[in-house]
Amino acid sequence: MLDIHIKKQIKSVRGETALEVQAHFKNEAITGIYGNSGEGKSTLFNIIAGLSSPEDGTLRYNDLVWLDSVKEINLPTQKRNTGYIFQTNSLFPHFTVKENILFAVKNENQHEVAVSEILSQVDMEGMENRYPHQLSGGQVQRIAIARALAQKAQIILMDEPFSALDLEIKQKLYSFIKVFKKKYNLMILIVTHDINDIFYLCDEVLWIKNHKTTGTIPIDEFKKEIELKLRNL
Amino acid sequence: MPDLSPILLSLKLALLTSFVLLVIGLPIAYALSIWKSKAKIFVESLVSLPIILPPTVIGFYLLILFSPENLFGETLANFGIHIPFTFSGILIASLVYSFPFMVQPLQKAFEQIPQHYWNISYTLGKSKFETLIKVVLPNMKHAILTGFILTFAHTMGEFGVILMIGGNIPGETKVASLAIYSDLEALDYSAAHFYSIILLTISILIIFMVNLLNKDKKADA
Repeated sequence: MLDIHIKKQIKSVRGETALEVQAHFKNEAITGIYGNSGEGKSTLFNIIAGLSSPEDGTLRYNDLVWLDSVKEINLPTQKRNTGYIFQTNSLFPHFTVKENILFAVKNENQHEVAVSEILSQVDMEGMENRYPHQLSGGQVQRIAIARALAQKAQIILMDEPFSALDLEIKQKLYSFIKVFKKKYNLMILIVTHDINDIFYLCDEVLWIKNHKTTGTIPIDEFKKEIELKLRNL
Repeated sequence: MPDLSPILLSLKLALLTSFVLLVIGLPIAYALSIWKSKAKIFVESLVSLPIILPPTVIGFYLLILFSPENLFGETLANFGIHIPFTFSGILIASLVYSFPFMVQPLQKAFEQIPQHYWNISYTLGKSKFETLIKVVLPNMKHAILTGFILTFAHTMGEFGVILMIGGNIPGETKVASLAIYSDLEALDYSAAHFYSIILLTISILIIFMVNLLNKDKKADA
């Protein structure tokens, strides 16, 4: 599990403000990070991945302290082993599919990695020698997931992974991610501003309102809150 | 058959200038691409200065700087280093004169690399240096080649700055463009033609290569 308790100054449309997050993310669960644009969703991801540091706070993954601002502990990104998937360009354009996957594996272990086997897991057999620009948006995201598997990431961070995809591909990717979470016991965190992504995919939701949040809520509770919000419109 | 040494000297100077500028230009371009300060515009203007500054002005001040009459030049001379009217002198002048032709395309390319390429690479366990070598530089290969070719071409055509700091010493500082000037003054039109046609051919080839690169870049995009 991942416990986070942080405070970070961020710039928003209303000037500088503090992003305050307290949350407890479960292993083997898909958690949606929901909120309007500019709430600090991507900043939260960057803090989890170690790409950005908060002024105050702690971050613990299972028994390991990744961040403790008082004790001045800050585990570098390279040692956190998180898989990070972006909206677009998640793959390196100068590498083939095979090279993109092998790039995630430590050099000394590369010979042990059966790329074709990993690709078959994501239904992308025979794509080893293709370049990212020869793939569709959905295929790129699937290869990015395959790369996270090759990396043996236990936490996968997906930042708006569906927003560039059309509905049909999106729905295929939803079921694909669900299967993967179960099969590999992954913790998947998904940043999205689309409630459909959350309804279809997530077990829990961290709703960031006015740059603050006090914890995750079960999907049913989130649905109720949304329904109430819609009724009051 | 005219003397080939001015052409060979020009090629040697252009190649050396391009290689040295590539090595020193990469870290400078990277630093400029990430630097966020109000002073950045001042430094960028300084980098661009050789584009508009008359070459004779650059040559003149370099000559003053390295003259044994001045403290800096005198100190170098005490160590047995003589810059004016030597090949080292014209190399230093070329590095200054062609500096923006290498640094500007590299800086632009660094700025165009999406930040998340760096970030993804870090999450995959790679260090900053590994990311630079394996991810960033391969994705700016067009800019590296363009910078190299433009620097090479610019150096091949240098005249004023070399004349100022190098003089026109055969085998040492007499490059092709100076040879054309000398032959014209001596009314040796056939020798001037010979060097001119070689420079013209090299220039056409370079322009063709740059355009080919740009076409490839558009196709990649």
